[in-house]
Amino acid sequence: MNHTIISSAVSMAALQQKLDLIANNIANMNTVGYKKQQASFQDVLTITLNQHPDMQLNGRMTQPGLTLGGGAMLTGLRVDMTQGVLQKTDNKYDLAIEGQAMFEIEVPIINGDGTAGVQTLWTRSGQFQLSPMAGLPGYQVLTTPEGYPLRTVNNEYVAIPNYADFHIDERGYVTYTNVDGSTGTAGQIKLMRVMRPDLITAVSDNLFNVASTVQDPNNVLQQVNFADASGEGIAVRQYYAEQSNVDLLSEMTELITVQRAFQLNARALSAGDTMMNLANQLRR
Amino acid sequence: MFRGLYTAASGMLAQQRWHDSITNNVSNMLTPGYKQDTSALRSFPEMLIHQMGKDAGPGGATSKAIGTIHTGVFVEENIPMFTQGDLTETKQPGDLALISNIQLPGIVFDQSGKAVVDGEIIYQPQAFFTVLGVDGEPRYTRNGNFHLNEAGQLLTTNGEPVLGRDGQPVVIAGSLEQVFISENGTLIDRYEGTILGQLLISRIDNPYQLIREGNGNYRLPAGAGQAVPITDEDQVAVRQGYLERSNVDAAQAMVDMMTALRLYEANQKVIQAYDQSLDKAVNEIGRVV
Repeated sequence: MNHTIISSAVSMAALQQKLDLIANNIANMNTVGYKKQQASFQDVLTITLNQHPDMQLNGRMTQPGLTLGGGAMLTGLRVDMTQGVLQKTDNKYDLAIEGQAMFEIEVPIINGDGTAGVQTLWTRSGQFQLSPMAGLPGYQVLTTPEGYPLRTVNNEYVAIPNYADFHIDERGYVTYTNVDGSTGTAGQIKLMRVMRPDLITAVSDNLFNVASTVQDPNNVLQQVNFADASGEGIAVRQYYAEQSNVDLLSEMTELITVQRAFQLNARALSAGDTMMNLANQLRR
Repeated sequence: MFRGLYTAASGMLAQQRWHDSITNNVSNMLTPGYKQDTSALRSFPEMLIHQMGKDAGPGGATSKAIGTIHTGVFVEENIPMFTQGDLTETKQPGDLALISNIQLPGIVFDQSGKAVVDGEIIYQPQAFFTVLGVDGEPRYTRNGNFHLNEAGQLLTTNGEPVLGRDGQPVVIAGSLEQVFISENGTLIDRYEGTILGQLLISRIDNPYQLIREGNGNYRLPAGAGQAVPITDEDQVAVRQGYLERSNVDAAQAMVDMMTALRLYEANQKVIQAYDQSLDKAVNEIGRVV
């Protein structure tokens, strides 16, 4: 019956979600490789109350029927994949990506039947470390701080001999120098170009997955091959860390706008409440 | 007989409807491309009332007319205001804003987009993005918050395909990053310079004929004119990386909300006054002390 109360309540819920999103962005302002999340609003389905054709009177501007909207909802949730600022850290374990690409990470999971399996996820956060790996004695592999190994173009791990120094070039080739001065290569780090940024979802620990609706992840992420156009504008920078792309100024501006809209909706809600109260008090 | 009781009740209902419409505007303050509604109220048809007297009656002289009376009020229509919303920069390649200021030769439109020529009202035409509704019929929208799906189709946030000049959904093989969209809606590859297609931007001569469907979409009912693609003469521009904000005026909405609430209250007081009169008529007249 009371549209005012329902539509303002619906909209306040949507605005609250947007506030949560802004808060999360601001909280991750200093998270390396963090990509801000964005969302937009949409008006909820409009109902049309039918009117008698006789209502089409002189001076009327619109078609017959009285349209009534039902508030607003949050839509278009997406990850903003724009480039963050590269900050020099002088740490050889820090890798930053220039351009729209991501590192591929192997995350161990437990399958539905209780057996161990792996899940492929992606990240922009290039703060790696060396971890020992079962089955690779004498070597250490590049992993995320959680211990998830990084993949090379051949779907292998980046294995570096113990005590060796290593260097990573712009195209992700890893070379190492042993303590005795001999050198070797540990493959090329796999980079995936983001073709459909709207179909990427953020999971925890700075990792990204493709949306659950995606049938073939290759449509969303394409392996970078520096020999052709897929490598255009993409480079790996060792000794750099990518800062988050959260812009505090725009987040604060948005925070103010959303908060005021929330306030206005709360006023509409209380006005709707007053109207109901007046109707209840018709007969004292 | 108390005529005013139902008049006041209709007043309460009308104010409530008006308040509902203002609330919906306030709710959509942050909805891109939303156009605010204004409610038009209309009084019930006029009635002529007569005095009852000894002259009146069958075969007698006509009774004396007192005058006319309206017995109520209702919200007749919610009229969308198609004024331009301001643009906000989002830097997203899929966000498009439409700037529509179509002029007709020899006609000067006022701020609300109307002009009166020889006693006839002419409305300012408006431009819209054209999308494909689920029933296969075109829908028109000003919300240019678009993205690509897995197959490369350009979609609205609601999932409807955006139509191109050729009447087919726009499909982009690569990523949106490499697509530049020019002022007239032409899609150009940033690296190769090749033309990938053109968005269908429709011009609707009388936008008030559009029916609001929600989800940012409008529908053109049968027999309400035709939508035509814009031409180079029309003052319409597409801005990539921007969104058109809603044109809801928060201050005006607040004032309207206060007005509607107080009018609702005034009508309630009138009903209570009638109730008191009825109380006296029923319980006090002719009471034996």
